[in-house]
Amino acid sequence: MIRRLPSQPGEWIDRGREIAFEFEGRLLTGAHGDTINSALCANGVRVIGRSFKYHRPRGVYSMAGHDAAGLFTDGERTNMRGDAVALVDGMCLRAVNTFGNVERDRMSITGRFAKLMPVGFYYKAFFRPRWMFPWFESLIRRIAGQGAINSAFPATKSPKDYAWCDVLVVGGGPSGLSAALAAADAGAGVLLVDENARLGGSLAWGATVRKDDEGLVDRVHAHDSIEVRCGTSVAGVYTDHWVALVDADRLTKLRAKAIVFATGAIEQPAVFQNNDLPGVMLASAAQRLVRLYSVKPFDRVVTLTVLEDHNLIWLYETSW
Amino acid sequence: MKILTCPVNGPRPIQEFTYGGEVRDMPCPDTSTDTQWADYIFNRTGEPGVRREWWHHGPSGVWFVAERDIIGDNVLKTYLWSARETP
Repeated sequence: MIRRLPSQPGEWIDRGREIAFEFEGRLLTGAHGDTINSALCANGVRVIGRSFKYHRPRGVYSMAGHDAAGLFTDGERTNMRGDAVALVDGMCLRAVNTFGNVERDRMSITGRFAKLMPVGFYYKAFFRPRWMFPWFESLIRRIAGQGAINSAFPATKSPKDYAWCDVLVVGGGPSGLSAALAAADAGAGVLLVDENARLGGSLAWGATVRKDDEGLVDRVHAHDSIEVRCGTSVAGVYTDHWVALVDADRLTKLRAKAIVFATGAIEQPAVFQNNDLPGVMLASAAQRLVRLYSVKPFDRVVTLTVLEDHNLIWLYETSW
Repeated sequence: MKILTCPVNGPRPIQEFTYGGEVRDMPCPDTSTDTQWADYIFNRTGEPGVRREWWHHGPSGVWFVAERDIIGDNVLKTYLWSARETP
């Protein structure tokens, strides 16, 4: 079932360019600009992965790359983050660490014994008799984990690059964009990086945009002394502003004179029983699905909020 | 990767430098007691704070002095021995 909405203003997908891919043996179709997760949601896939140990079903949760589940393998690369990795034509994906397939994982039987398995019980339970421990260990290692490494992986060389800038701005949301503009207007050479495919951050998916923030993205792109690198994440910051930038092709070693971190907020999940089941997601994840990828995240929704939240009101009032 | 500013060559990566120990005054070997001499040879201060240290820039062979706050590993200034402020 295709859950794609009519065209949303500012959506990141290009409907004209279809991408065919395979997930767990099913042939599916996404659009250019989709991430793995948004394409799966668009195809009505609810279970995208299994939990690390007890193989509980997991769905899309943050759409921002903060999920513990939602990791995929194409046979060569493993543990690709479904929120962050762009969909590529001909991808042949599987969820990592499943027994059988992701929909009907044989190990999900552990869920029936959940009451007998408090957190960390096996550290005590599987220790005696001592001679049994190696057997238990190999069993646990097979059940838990994040997939298998392909040891026949062909050795590939990836390029390394160097870069210099006056000011590095990490994060392309409203704060990062403003910081980049302010620094560039003051005469600094600015490098702006964002891990997403496009700039904008919460401007692109949030419910409300302040009047002052309109056109920020265009002004940044038009500025001569700002270099923009999307799809690039900061993997490490070392002494004297020595920074590792990682994108799909290369590692860039950057020396900055100053760094501005505008990495934004991470929405915190509510804690309740079974809050990890597919269908439960952060409000920001639902907004990202709708605004960036034009995917209908659900048909009926219960929202949990503690205050008058514009994002939730927006979700409620959006009629699709 | 840390950057150290050589007084002759400017800012260079730390790999080009070698640490040469703390700047210390040697007691006169002829007049010092054995205790003073042993202290100079064997003991070093472990006190946190700002240190004056010898550093060597390998590619150009320059020895110079760096004032470094060892608590945060921050180099405050570097200068040649000839440019030191004599009390």
